[in-house]
Amino acid sequence: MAKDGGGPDWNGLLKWSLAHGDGTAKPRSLSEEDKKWFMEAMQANTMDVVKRMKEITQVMKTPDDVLQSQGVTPENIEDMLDELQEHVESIDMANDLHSIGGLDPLLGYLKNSHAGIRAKAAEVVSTIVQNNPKSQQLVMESNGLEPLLTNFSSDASTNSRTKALGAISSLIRHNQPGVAAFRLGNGYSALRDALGSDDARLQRKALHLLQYLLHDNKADRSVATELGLPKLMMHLASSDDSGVREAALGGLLELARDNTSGAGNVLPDQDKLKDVLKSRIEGISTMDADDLSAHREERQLVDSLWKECYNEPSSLREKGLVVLPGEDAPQQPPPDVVGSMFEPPLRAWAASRPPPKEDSESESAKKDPPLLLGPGPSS
Amino acid sequence: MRIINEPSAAAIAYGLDKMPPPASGADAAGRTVLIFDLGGGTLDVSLLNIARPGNNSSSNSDNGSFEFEVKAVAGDTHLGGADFDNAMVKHCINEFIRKNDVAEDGVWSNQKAIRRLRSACERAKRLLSFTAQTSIEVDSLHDGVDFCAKMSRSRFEELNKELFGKCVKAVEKCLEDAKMDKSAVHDVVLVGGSSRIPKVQSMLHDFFQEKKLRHSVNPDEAVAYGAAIQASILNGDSDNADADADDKKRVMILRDITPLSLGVEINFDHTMSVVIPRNTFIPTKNTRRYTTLYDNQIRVSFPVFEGESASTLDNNLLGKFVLSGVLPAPRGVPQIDVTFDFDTNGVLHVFAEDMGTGSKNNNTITNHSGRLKKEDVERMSREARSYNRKRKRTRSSLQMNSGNLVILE
Repeated sequence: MAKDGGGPDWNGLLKWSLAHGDGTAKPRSLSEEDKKWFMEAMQANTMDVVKRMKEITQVMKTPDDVLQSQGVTPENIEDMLDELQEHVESIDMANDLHSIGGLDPLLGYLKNSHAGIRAKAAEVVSTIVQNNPKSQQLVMESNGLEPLLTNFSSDASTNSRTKALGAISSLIRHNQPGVAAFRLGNGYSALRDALGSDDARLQRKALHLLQYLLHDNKADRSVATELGLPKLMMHLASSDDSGVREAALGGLLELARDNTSGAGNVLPDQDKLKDVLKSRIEGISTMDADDLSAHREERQLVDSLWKECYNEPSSLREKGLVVLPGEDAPQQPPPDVVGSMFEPPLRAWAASRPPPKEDSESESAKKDPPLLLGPGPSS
Repeated sequence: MRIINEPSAAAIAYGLDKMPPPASGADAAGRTVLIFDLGGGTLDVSLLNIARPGNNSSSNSDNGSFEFEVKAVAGDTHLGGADFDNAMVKHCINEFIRKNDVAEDGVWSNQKAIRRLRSACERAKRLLSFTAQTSIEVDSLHDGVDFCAKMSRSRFEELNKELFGKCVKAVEKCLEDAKMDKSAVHDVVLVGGSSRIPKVQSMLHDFFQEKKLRHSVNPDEAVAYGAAIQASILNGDSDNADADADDKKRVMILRDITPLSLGVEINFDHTMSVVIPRNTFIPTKNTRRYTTLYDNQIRVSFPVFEGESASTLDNNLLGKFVLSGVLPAPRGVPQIDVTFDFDTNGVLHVFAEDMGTGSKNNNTITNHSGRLKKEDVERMSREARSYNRKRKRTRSSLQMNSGNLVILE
């Protein structure tokens, strides 16, 4: 970045240009007047991100009473954290925050007396550590998981709990020490409480994290079962919120695919599950074309779960509702030459789908004939 | 001063200029290297030939000099890591629109949303080089609606398969322009951060089959690394390097040599007896044999010096120790072995042993390499050259004697 008192931030401009260019415009030569204007614009308008992050760090290190005496309000702090979040979207800036001493004061804000600041701080932490092994380690070393777990399990503000869960999810994914600490920190009980809340957003985030934990950490299935999470997931599979339904079905599918235990299926109450799935099949059968497109994942999950539990395709397949005309049929892609892991079929189906193109989407939408519901072909 | 192009610097980083020409006779012309540079914004493919000038292998005067000839270049000035990110962003936005009841135009014109999504996609892309699947989550992406999606490596590769195909086409174009078959390429060097993407490496591996892809040097730093090596060569730091030394050894040579000669003082006139000559590679160990100066001498003193002067009076005293217990004997009869062991940490260990009695003593001189500043080394080298000329007569006198003698303290 630009040095203090130095010239324009050329490195920042390069990064911005690369991020915003699409490579279609032909290069043109600038006139002297344009060059002069451009240089003045660069001098006047570029921001030294590291310098701003250092200033924000200084504010975060200042005690609350000092800030209050200077007229700084909690809303001002939230706005400042919003700016910080924008800076740490860049993975390099996120990792630099620790170098300039800003990570620990940020984690301190997780214990701030204002719920809005706690929530915003958690959101910034989430941005810092998402898909970022280096900062994940730094946050773990600074014991950042502890206040996040406290906020997630017992914060009075639902929004603060939700943001804390988001940060925990970003922190412990692909982070074995994080998962172990989450387990030891009674994280599963907090997940159960979140599933039992009446906030769809909190439920959905909890289900997503649970799905990841069940998939990548088979040893945790017994923990989840003991806490009664499968029952809760079955209940949420009938939620009015489509995101919650989809995430719940995904979690149930992870449990249904458990082949390690010789004791058979770990899903309790098979009759209730069948009722839930039948109900979802009915719901899907009444959807129009737009809804069917929006609920593609749910359709596939219901069919996969049915096959997994009852060893036969669901009636959705008979009705032609698992794969619509214009959609690619799920198929196994060839395994990665480099990747040593072979993905489960659900993700492989998604992976083989080409990126949707705008023209083909609208074309497909227009061409969709109205669905004629009737008996399927007899086998 | 010399300016070298980036592909040549990348080849130097991997020591390809120091590797012997391939054994087959048909390739006697030199080594053919393909440099694949995929960075954040551009793809550059270069085909180099590395050969000795004039192809005169018997010449030693140009041991450090090789010719880099660029046979062909190809690439795409609008293909790089940012394009992979853009493909992911488009996919995610289309998914967001499909799954939520939001107006399409609104999302595409929400610059903040697109910026946040691009940063998240870039991180996911990086992690997918190490894992098969990950998540992309952006809270309140647009109209207060959260975005959450799984992204697998195979989906990432599917989204970008056209861009990956362009990479292979650029390689084919480069070989075609050079009128070479891919079997003629001896090495493939990967440069640029995006060359870390597993699909990129597997494609090149498949294309070149058994050729070894070289990517052990950090691809972000390969060019700078090679340029630094070249600068070091021009500075004369590897004058003693063997032409066939491998890259790792050359790095050691550049970094770890003894800057000054090390030895002990002998004779009445402060003669410097060198045990480890200047510019010896470390770690190193050397032994020389000494004897007594007087009849019935039972103690021998060993002052340890460093410097290039033939007289210890002008060299730097590092330490001193005494070997006792030498059996009384006429002068010149006892045999005393003195060993200098200079380790990689710059610590000098000195041992002395009476081969007759087995009596031993040793001393350790620590932090040796840190004692002298660069200016001191240079000054002492300059002075030593003039002193050696003055002391020529002394040296001649020494050569007349049959052995080395040590004075009693």
